[in-house]
Order: sequence, then C-alpha cells, then structure tokens
Amino acid sequence: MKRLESAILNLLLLLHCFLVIVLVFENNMSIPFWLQPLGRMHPLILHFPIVFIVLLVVLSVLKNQIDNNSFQKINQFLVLITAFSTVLATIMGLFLSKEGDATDLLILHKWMGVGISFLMYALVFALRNKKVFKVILYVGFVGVFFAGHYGASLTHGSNFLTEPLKDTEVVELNESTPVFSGFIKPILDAKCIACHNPEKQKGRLDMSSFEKMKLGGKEEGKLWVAGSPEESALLKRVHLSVQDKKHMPPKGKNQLTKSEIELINAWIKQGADEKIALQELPAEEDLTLLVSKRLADTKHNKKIAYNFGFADEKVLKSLEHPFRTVIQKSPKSPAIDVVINGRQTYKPEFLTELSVIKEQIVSLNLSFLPIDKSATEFISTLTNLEELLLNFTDLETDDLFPLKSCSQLKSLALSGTNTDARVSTLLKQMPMLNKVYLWNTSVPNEDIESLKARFSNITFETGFIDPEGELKLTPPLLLSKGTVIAKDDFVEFGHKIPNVEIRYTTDGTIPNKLSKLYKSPIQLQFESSQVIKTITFKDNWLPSKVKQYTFFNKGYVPEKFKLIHSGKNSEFIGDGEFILLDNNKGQGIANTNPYWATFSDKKPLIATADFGENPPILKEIIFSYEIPNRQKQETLASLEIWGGQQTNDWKLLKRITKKPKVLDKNSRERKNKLSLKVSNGQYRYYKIIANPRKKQLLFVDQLFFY
Amino acid sequence: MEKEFFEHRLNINRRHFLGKMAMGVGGAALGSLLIPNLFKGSGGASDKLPLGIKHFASKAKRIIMLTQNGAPSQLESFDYKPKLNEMFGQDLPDSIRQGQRLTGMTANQKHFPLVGSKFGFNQYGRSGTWVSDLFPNIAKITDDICVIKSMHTDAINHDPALTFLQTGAQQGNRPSMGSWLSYGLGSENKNLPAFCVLLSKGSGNGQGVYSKLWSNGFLDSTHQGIQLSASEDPILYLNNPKGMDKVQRKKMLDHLAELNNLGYAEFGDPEIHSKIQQYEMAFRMQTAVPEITDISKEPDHITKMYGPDSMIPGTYASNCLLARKLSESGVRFVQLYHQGWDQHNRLVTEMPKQAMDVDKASAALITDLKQRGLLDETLVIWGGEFGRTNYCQGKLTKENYGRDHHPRCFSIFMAGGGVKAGTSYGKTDEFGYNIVENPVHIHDLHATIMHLMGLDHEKLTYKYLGRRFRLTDVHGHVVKDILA
Repeated sequence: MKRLESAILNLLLLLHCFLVIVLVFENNMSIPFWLQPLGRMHPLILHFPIVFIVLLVVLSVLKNQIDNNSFQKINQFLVLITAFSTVLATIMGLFLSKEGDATDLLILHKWMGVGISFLMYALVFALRNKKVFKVILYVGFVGVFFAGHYGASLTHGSNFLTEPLKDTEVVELNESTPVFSGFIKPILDAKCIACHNPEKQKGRLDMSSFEKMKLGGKEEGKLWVAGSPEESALLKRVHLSVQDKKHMPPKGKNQLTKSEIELINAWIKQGADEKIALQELPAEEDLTLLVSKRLADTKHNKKIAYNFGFADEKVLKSLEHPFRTVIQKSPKSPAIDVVINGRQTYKPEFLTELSVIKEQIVSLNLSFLPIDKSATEFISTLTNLEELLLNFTDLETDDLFPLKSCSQLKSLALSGTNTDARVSTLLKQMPMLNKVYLWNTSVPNEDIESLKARFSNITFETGFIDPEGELKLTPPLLLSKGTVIAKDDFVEFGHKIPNVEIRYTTDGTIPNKLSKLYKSPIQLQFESSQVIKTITFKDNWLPSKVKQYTFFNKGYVPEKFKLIHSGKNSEFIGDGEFILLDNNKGQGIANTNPYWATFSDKKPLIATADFGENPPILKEIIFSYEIPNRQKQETLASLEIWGGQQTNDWKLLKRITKKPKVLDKNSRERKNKLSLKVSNGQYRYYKIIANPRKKQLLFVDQLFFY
Repeated sequence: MEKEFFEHRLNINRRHFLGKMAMGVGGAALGSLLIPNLFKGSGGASDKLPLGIKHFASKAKRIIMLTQNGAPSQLESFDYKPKLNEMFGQDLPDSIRQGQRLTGMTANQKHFPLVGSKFGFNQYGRSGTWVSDLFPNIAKITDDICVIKSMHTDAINHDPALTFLQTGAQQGNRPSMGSWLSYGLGSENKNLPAFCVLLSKGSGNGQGVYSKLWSNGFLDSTHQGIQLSASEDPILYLNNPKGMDKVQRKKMLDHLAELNNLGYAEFGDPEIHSKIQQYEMAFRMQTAVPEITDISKEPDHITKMYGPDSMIPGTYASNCLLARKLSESGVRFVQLYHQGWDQHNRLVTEMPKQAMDVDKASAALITDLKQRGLLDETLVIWGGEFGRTNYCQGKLTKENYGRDHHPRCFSIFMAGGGVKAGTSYGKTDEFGYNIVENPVHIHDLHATIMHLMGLDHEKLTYKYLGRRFRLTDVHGHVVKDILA
C-alpha cells in the first residue's frame, strides 16, 4: 500500500509538471496524430474526477459514522486517486482542445479544469490540516459542477440545459415574412445548429445567422451557390448516402425530411436571397408553391389554444353510458369528442345531459339518430363546437337554423338528410365553416353549384355520382332452406337490392323478360326433381346471369334408420345416420365439410331403413354420391338393395356393379345419382349396401326413397 | 360438525352458481365474444373501463385495413417499371440481386428472366400517381390516397410475413395491431367489439388466414378480433330463440336479474353483479347490431358504387360495405382479408380477376367515407404482406408468367386519417428489385399508423413475462413525410 501511494505521489508530481509545460508552450505545440485518440478519451475519463470529488464530499459528511482509522485510510487513498484522475482528465482535455478552435467557452472550461486539477493536487498536501482540506474540497466541489456544465455546453450547445424549458418564440408567419427567416432558418435551427453554432463550430461552420452562413466552412468553403442547388455544398452533403462520413446531418442525428430538402433546394435555386418574401416571388416558381403550401399548413395546423378549462374527471365518468362515448382528445387537451349510438335506443336525455360539458365539446357525432329541432337547439349552446356530424338524421332544413350560434363550427356533415337549398341562409351566418357534406340530400345539383360559387371558403362534398353505363345485377338468392323439399313445401326467392324483378322458368328453358314473374313463394309439383332457372331485371341495370336451382323431392322418410359403420373416416367427420337423410345436398368435398358421409372397403355402407308397420309402396330408391377430383377412379364397386318384412329375412331386389374407370377432372360422371327401381316393393325393411373399391373412399350425401 | 357445515355451504354455493350459469350459456358465450371485460370479474365492468385516451390529439379515430392476402404484385399495380418490359426475357443481373436468398420455389431456377407488366400504366389525378390498368377505380381516387412504394419486410413466406404485418413479429404469439389499438384506445361504441375481422376469397391462388392473425396475444382477451361470419347473420347467436320476441326476452332478462339480485344479496359475489350487467348489454346489442349489419337499406346508388357483389354476403365488396358500416358505428379497427393474390404462375389470367374483385369496392369505400365526412377520421390501409419478384417463376411466355415472393420492396396505399393525400412515397430501382429512396419497414408502418391514431408507439406497452412489449418491439420510426 505504501509503495503504491508513493508511486502515485511521484506520478502526480510528474503529471503536474507536464501540465505546466503544456500550458506554457500551448501555442507552439501541435498534437501528433497518435496522441489524438488519448485526447478524445477526455469525455470518458472526466467522469472519474467528478465522481471521486463527490465521493470525497460524501465521505467528509459521513466522517463521524466511520471509525477514525478506516476513515483516514479511505480518505487518503481517495484523495490520491482523485488528484490522479483529475490531472489525467485535464491533460487529455488540453490535447482535445487543440483539435478545434478556441472559443470563449472553451477557454473558460480549460482554465477551470486546470484550476481543479491543481486544487486536487493541493488536497494531497492538506490531508493533515482538516480546515484547509475542507475549504479546498468544497471549492473544488463547486468548481467541478461549473466546469462540467461548460463542458456539456461545448458538446451539446450552450442552451442545451434550458432548451426544453423555453417556449419557442412564435412568430406569426404571413406573405411578407422573408422566406429565409420564416421557413428556411427554422429547419436549419432544428437540424444543423446544434453542431454549427458560435460555440461549437464543427468544420469551422457557424450557421447561427445568414451572414455567418455566407462565410461557409473549412472544407467546402461556401455553403451554397445561388441559383444552382446542384453545386451547393449544403445540399450535396445532404444528398450523400447516410453511410457516407460526409453526409449531413451525421448518421444517427435527426435527418432532413424530403419536403425540407425540396424547400431548401427551391430557395437556393431561386437565388438564396435573405430578404425575399412570398409576396415578392414570381407566381410560377417552385419556391412560391412550396412556401405557400407550408404557409397554408401552418395556418391550418396552428395550435388552437383552447380558452376553456378541463372537464372534471368525475363529471366525465358520470356521463359514461353504453350508448354514448365521451372522450377527451388527449390528456393535455381539454377538448372532448362525443358520439351517441343506437337509433332504436336513443333518448333526448343522452344529448341534454351533456350540458355539463358544453364548453368542452368540440366534436359531436349524432349520425342516424331520430333527432329533431330540440336537438339542434341544444347543440347551439355548445359554443366551442368545431365538428358536427348529422348524417342520416331525421332533421329538416328548418331544424338546422339554431346552429348559427355555433360560431366555431368548421365542419358540418348533413349527408343523407332532407336538407334543401335553403341551407344557404345558415351557411351565410357561419364564418368559420370550411367543409360541408351534402351528399345524398335534397339539395339539387344546380343549387350546389351556386353554393360553391357563393361560398368560396367552403368545400362542398357531394359524393359519388352514378357511373355511366349500367351494372350487371346478381342472380336471386334462395331464401327458403335447402334444395331437398317435401312435395308441398314452398320455394322462396329474394334479392338484396330493392325492387328487383325475378323471372323464372320450370320447363328447363332459359328465362327472359317475358318469363313468369316471381311474386310469392312457389309450390312445386314434381316427382323426384325439378329444375328452376332464374334471372333478375331492374331498370338502369343489366339483367343478371341465369341461375339454375335443382330441387329434390324429399320422398318417404323411414321411421328408423341405422348404419353399421358410422360414415366417419379419418379426417372426414360426417355422421352418416344423420347426413344420409338430412335433406342437404353436399357441396364441394373438403375434410371440414360435414355434409358427406364416407365409407371404405373395410367399412362399407350398410344401412337399414325401417318404414314401420304400414310401409308405403316404394317405386324408386336414389343413391347420391360424388367422386372428388383427388380420386382418379370410380369409387363405387357395387350397390345392392334388399327388402324384407323382418330383419333376418332378406330378398335381393336390385344390384348394380360399376366398372373400374378412370375419370377426367370435372367429368359429369363424378356427380352421381344412381336410381334403383324397385317394382312395388312393399316391404317394411330395406337394406342398402354400397361397397367401395379397395383403398377408395366413397362420399355419399343423400338417400331418397320414392 | 363445524367443518361439515362449512363444506355443505360451499357445495350449495357452487351448485347455486352453476345453476345460474346454465340459464344462459349461450348468452355468456355471446357475451364473452362481444362484451369488453366479461370475465374480468369486477362489478360494473363496463363503467370501470379506463377512459381510452390518445397520447396526443390526432385526426384518425378508426382504421379499416384491407389486407390483400397472398401479396399482390407491385409491378402490376403501383410500381411502374418500363425497363422490365424493355429487358423482357433477359436475366436478372447479379448486381441487382446481390446474392439475395430466394424461396425454394425459384432458388433452383437456372435463369431469372425479367418480365415487365403485361398491363398498361398511366398517371392519374393532380398527383400524377402511377396506377395500372387493372385498377381503374382506384385510379380515379389517386388524389385521396398516399402510395408507399418502398415497403419492405423481413419474411419471405406468407405466414410469417402476414403475421409480421399484423402483429409486428413473425412467430404469431403477439397481439394483433387491432388488439393493440383496442387496448390503447378502448371502444368507441360499447355495444360493439372494438376489433372486427371480415374474410373473403377471390378466385386466384389462395393462402390461408388463421385466427392467430387477430389474436389478442398476451393482452386481455377482450381485445381479440371478432370474426364476423359470411352468412346472412354476420354475428352469430344474436337472434332471439324461436318463438321468443323482444318483449319476452326483456321480461326474461328482468326476471333473471331479479333472481340474480337475490343471489347477490345472499352471497355478495361481485361476479353475479357483473353478470347481470352483461346480460343487459347483450340485450342492447340485439338492437345495435342488426341496425349496423343490415345492408338491404342502403340506397341503390351505394350498391352501384360498391358493385352488385356487395349484396352477396361474404364477398369483398359486401365486406367493404359492412366495414364502412361498422367503422361508422365506432368499431375501432376493422380488418378485412381478401385471399387469392399468390400469383406464382398464370399471373396474367389470375390477377385481373383478383383486381376486379377489389378495385371497385376499395375505391368505393374511400369515396363513401369521404362523402359522409368520415375520411378525415378513418385511416384506410390497402396492401399485402410482401411484393413479387421482377423475374418470372417457371416458364416465361409472351402470354403468361408468374412471380415469386419478394420481401425487398412492395407497394401499399393509405387514405384518410391524417395521411398526406395525393402523394407517392419512396422509390425502387429501375428493376423494381431494391429500394433506392425512403425505405419503410413494417415496423415503421406500424409506428406511423399508431402515430396517426394519436399513440406513441414507444409508450403503448404491456408488461408480460417481465418485459414491456410494444407493437413495434424495439424498432420503428414514424414516417413524417406522409403525415398531412
């Protein structure tokens, strides 16, 4: 320990001598390049002396809490390393200072640093004398704060500390504001000046004023060449790739946006004049357009300082209602948006209860509500209302007139209401209004044109205009359930577009304008199946495609129906006992489609139908199955129908065998309805056996008994 | 003895509770889908909902996202590259590809023959936005939209890319964008879900969509996207049972509430109290939802505007119309998916059909919002999960070609909600392969969308597994240039 201490003491002496030499011969010295990295470590090392000095102060305050012996030891060692780190940081700082230009701030920082360094060295010798020690320590403590602050000002800019507290000066921009000071300078102030200011002139460039900027920087000289942005250093640097070392602002700093670059570009192109203002610019210049757009934007976006206070949180809470939403714009804004929902449930109180926040409401949406004049009378008390949506409400033009007291109203939506041309009387009395929505109202087109001419400050939105040419209708929809129906069931058609004519044929011919008109649900008279072809017509629309519906007679339904194998195979989930008689034709086979029962050669279809004690006379049994495209071959091997009066005495009635056959995709034979005629079969029980081919799945969707 | 008595009481309590539950399993199921905070268990759940409030004031209040699932080709829609037509059949230069890893579908191709759009391009509107002939209606509204041609993403296959677009992560365990917004801003209409999902399918080569895309992830399940069905009744189980009318229903619920109140007086379980309110809410929904989902009362010219398909449930056009109605009624985030944009081959025959499905209705949606004064406060986003390659996948003929996946650049467009209308942002090279100006990453898109909705994407966080999660993870910059 002793040896370390004496080593540090010697080193301290050496370093302070060196420091004095550097200070004396400062002006004749230049830092060799290999020492520069050492200088640049200044920002790293300087934190050590700051912390150590603070630690020493803390230690001296807590002195009485620690036993004296330990305190002396810690204090002594801490003083040594404090002095050591201070002198090191100071020397490095001196090296670093040689890289840039000496500004007033830099000189102040330098000498404060040197002073603290010597103070800390003095501290080493004042260890014995408690009074002197304390005085030196506290002076150093205060000094380090100031030195630190000036150092930070050097790297971050002199107003770094206070910047967030300052309100940026709001200058009213108008046509006579010089383009430079009003539009260009603010961009440079935001994105460049932090590194290019009188105190910190990176690349010896100061961008704090027009004059200073004209002087240019070290490397490129002049910042711009008036009239040719391509040759201007300012823009060249901006246009370099972000990865390029010379790109400005440097990688990681806040970059210029496209529109900002455009503006600077246009300004230089125009002549880079300091004093020129929008009103003096020729109308066709790019700069004129860009500046006038920016001006319009700033006017438009000008922060509206609301002069009303915040609504009480409790009041807001009390206004919560399932059919009403009351939301403050943001935590910092007292303005409130209100929406009321639900036409059927609307009550006038939903609106009038809002009187407690009538100052704060700036946006109100009452679309679709059945409101009347009393509502607009209430709305007229909302003095700060800016946006009002009354689309598709029941309001008439006369009901709107109370709104004239909403002097702040900017946007009024009346789409889908009965408003007529008399609304112009209202518009005349509303100076702030700049948007009115009159789509789907009773205002005739020519009146809208005259409104547009009369109120040049208002944008009228009139919406969609019927397209030229006619559109094709869609075919009718089948509204009754399913296509498998009983003989006396009704078939119902409909269309979502009102007043559409549905025409149809039942004889298989293509329907046309003269075919039978559908008026009410149709009752079909048919044996096993019936095709209905439909088409729709409407004025100003093209007729729809012909859509064909095939209806199947439900036939007789057995009292009991049993399957040996359920019809569920691997991922095919259909429950056969239900599906085969569910009156739903299967559509498009997919493993999630529950309208198909599936059978394999291991688990064939073996169904027993029981028609009860008084069985009907069956003429025909229809077996409906499908072969999806994924199966290349015919899937059914044989189909048998057995009849019997008892379940143990069967007689074969009919048998069909199918040949193995490769089927084309989308072949007609893939959708099969096998008809099995059973002459006068008056059996109580029927057994249907369908054997699929080996390793094939058989998809069956329905059995019909006629 | 004491112990037995205690257990006995416990049993009765449980039986009692289950008995009450059984009276309305359907109602509870419906409620859990649609009512915020159903299973939160606090009394008066709806009244205790935090005031969903923006971080800062902004124009957009709602979002309609028109996700074109499968990735429509940017080279046949918005990114005009005549150079590719000039270089028809020539190989993609290595200097452009820069050794990029391709999908397994084209990585083994010996040649990468460039192919330009078979469809013409024109400039439209005052903005002079380039739009292909496949989108004649979107071409008419170019002054209302902002096309971003420099989108890029991290993933090269559909599922991760789509998951990334929706949730900000490729793995699929994070909340969807709509869930984040529901969490951040709450519901604008408490009788409707804050986040709705609508699906439709075109005739083109399709890719699946899965419910994980509208999952609430680790957020409360009330923020989950609610998928509306394509049937006649978009929200299932909302109608009264057969033979019961509205008055009877109300009577039944009132009596149930009386019984439940007895139970509440007896046991003091706050769960009972919240259940009473939830039944009430489901009842309110019975009137609120049909008002919104009934599209038969739309004026004739609205149908014409969206196209006659809008009257067939489950089509893109009808979903667009429904999306407008939901959004208009205060649904915070309406998410549409239209499948069928994966044109690996036969692009020339498939893409026109896909475009026809969506062109008219997408443009109509934007126009319709505009004429109601809602476009300012509704942000509409149209786009797929990535782009398509500038070279042909498979055999290139004069008549037909296909394009593989391309994450390095693609085009989307946004409209309304504080987006700078009538602009095109970002630029790709003349091969349409790499971005040369203003790249916008998916994270940047998310950050921008949230900014438009008045949310700071760095501040909207949720602590889960000891970490604060964001939609943009640790990335994302707001694209200020496209803000109006």
